[in-house]
Amino acid sequence: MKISLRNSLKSAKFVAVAALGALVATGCAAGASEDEAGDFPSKDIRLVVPWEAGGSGDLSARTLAPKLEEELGVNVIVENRPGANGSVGYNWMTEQEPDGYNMVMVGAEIVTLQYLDYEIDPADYEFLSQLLAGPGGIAVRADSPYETLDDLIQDAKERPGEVTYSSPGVGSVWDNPAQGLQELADIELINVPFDGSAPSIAAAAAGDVDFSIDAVGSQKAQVDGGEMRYLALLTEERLEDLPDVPTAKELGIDLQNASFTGLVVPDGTPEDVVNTLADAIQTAAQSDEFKETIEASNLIPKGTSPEEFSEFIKQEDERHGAWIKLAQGE
Amino acid sequence: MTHFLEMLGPSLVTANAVLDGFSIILQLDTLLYIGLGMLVGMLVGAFPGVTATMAVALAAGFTMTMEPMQGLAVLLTIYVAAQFGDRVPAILINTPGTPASISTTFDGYPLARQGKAGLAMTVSAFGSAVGMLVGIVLLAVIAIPLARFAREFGPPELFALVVFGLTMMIGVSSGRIIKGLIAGCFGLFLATVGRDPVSGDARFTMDILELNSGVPFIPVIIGLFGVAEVLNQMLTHNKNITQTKPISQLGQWWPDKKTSKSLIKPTAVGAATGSVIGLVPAVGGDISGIIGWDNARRVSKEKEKFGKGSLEGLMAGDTSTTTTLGGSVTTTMALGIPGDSVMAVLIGSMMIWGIQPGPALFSSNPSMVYSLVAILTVATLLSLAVSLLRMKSMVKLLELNQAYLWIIILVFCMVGTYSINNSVFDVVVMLLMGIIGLVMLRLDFPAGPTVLGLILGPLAEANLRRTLIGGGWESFLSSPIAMILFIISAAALLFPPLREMSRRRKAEVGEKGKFSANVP
Repeated sequence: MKISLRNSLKSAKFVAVAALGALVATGCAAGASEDEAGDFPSKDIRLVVPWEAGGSGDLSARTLAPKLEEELGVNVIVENRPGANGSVGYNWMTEQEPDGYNMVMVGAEIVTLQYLDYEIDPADYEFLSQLLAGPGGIAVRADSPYETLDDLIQDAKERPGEVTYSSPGVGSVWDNPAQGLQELADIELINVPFDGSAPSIAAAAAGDVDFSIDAVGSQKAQVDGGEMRYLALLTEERLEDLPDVPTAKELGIDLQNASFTGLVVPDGTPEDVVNTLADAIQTAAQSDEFKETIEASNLIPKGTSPEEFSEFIKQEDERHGAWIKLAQGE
Repeated sequence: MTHFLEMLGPSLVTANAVLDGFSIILQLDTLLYIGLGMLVGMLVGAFPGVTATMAVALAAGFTMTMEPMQGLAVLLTIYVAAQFGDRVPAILINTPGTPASISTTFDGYPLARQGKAGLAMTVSAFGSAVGMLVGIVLLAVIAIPLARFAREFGPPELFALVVFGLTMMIGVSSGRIIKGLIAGCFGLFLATVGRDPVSGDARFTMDILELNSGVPFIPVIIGLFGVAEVLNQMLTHNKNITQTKPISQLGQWWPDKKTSKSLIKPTAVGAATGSVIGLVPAVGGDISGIIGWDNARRVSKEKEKFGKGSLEGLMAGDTSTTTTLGGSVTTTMALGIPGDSVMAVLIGSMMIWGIQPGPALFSSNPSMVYSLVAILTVATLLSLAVSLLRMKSMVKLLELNQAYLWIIILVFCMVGTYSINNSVFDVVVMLLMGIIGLVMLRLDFPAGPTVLGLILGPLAEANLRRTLIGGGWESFLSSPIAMILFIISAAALLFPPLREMSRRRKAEVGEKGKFSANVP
């Protein structure tokens, strides 16, 4: 009863969104025939998500799209082209005209896949803006014998090649920093790869493996439920929400890693188009609504400039490349 | 201590929480959203290739701006209604709308060809409703302690369960064991295509980018079942005059007393199977339907009818499939582990609403579980009513000239398949599988084992290798659940031939006895 007014407002909003959806559908045909020579953008823009619909990446794109529509004045249509770790979508992107009417959302795979025999090259893209980051953490099940990161490292030194961790997949954004951990701490761990973060973290919570290395936000449900404990954060500084959890750096292991998503267009897109899109994305990503949605998912909203994002990608490429080569060298 | 409290969670909540939770369906707008979800769900269920996962995922884009409970009402109702809508193409045109209806095709389509489409659809709708309600009761009464059971399923236990699933290949071969096993191996081979789950190396990808994520599953089932059947009808329609009654004839559509009575046992078997399998994370209605169907076959008095138009088989499969829903919701909400692919999507939406599925959810938000129960119950009853009402008009569709119908089905299959991933590759796979399915059909190879191999192969491989990396072979010995499942699997394989042997021996003895009695 307390929420009835709010409810009806929300319902009105839903109806409006549905109506907008119908308009988008009918508007497509009209938009396509418009003159392309005009100022950018003069027709609908496609935002391709290289993952399945409904995941957190997809939902962040769908939260961003209406904000981008406000900024750019044209429809922004979200389309899913999933498959093969996102490479189907990345690859599709390189085959499109570099005119700014097709954007693709990328994750860390845009730099890691090239080291895993995929024909994906970060040089084929113009990087527009990083949307969000998911800083990493190391967590163990609630009744684990490890009280600190040091306990874990000591145990791994005593039993080389026996301590296990779960990762969301081989060569994934969370498997790679585990290689870094082994190198920095001079230990040997065993990777048990799972199919995505949820089952991987659940395996650590159930005690099937000794620890989980993943995004802090993804581990949070288990930690809040009393099933797991954080041992360390893979961040530069402590997080506001978790003031009592030390960073690995404080504990003498200078290891940082975060998952991320951002938007790119094909290489060769005109500079003014890149700037128009990047400005719109930055404004949209800094809107309260986008920030709230991202923070609700335990992620950190960003909205960086093309220069910052390109520099970031370069650093990620170097770090992950080194880690993957380390893993393959074994 | 906290564990203990969580175990007791549901019994500790006050009547207040229950009332609070149920009150959600007394709000008019919630009911409206349930109605909306039902229309969407019924529609997508009836289109081959458009899965509940996809419908829920796309709807999630719209429900984001709604109140959490109303958004959940829309998404959960789509999920429920799609289960019902889904049975229609499985029964009428042998095309499972979603993988959960694979077992529906085993008996539903043969029944339709015998002119019993109406009866099949009624039985299927009731089976789905009963399964759903059993699952909901499980969720309401013992959600949290049961969710703990899901925790027990690590890689060794999952591998053992998958091995048990693979023994179903014999059952779904309906007598053609050698051919069934060959078809099953073909499915297992298809399952090896893609990236190695542990090393990440490419296997049999032939430089086709899409194959890196393996052979896509839904195009395969649509091809093997739906397209193959249409192609077969095209080839044989001139010769095939033996089919006396057209499918469009509803025939009897309400089971008589005797039939209803005979359905009690398969319903119970299906519900029991689905209850257990629903709790195992990552294993959903598709496998549960097949296992429930096979379990019912084992205990049935009319085994030989299974796969050729058995109402018992249809009932057991559909009940088993839908019962998993309660378990899936339970593991998803209480553990934060998606119970199936629809639930994975739901978790994404809930996070956006600031609700974090996981161990803390039910203790911090006790009325939530009752709201879910209320929404699911209303959605189920409404879907059942709509299914029964619109049945006659659905069957009318099949009165069209066969040639038109083939074209319509093929177009639907293609559009549906394309829309899963916006991928032409998937459509090519579907058509190729249609041709392979046609060859299999003509040579009398069953398609069921192939599908089982393709679903279970990757699960078997990944979990076996995880077990071996982690604890080695000893982990199987130290896991009671895994050992029990292995013993059941062995029994499932050995029992039927042994019984057959003893039956023969008895028959021989009987013959001899008769013979000697005749000797003066």
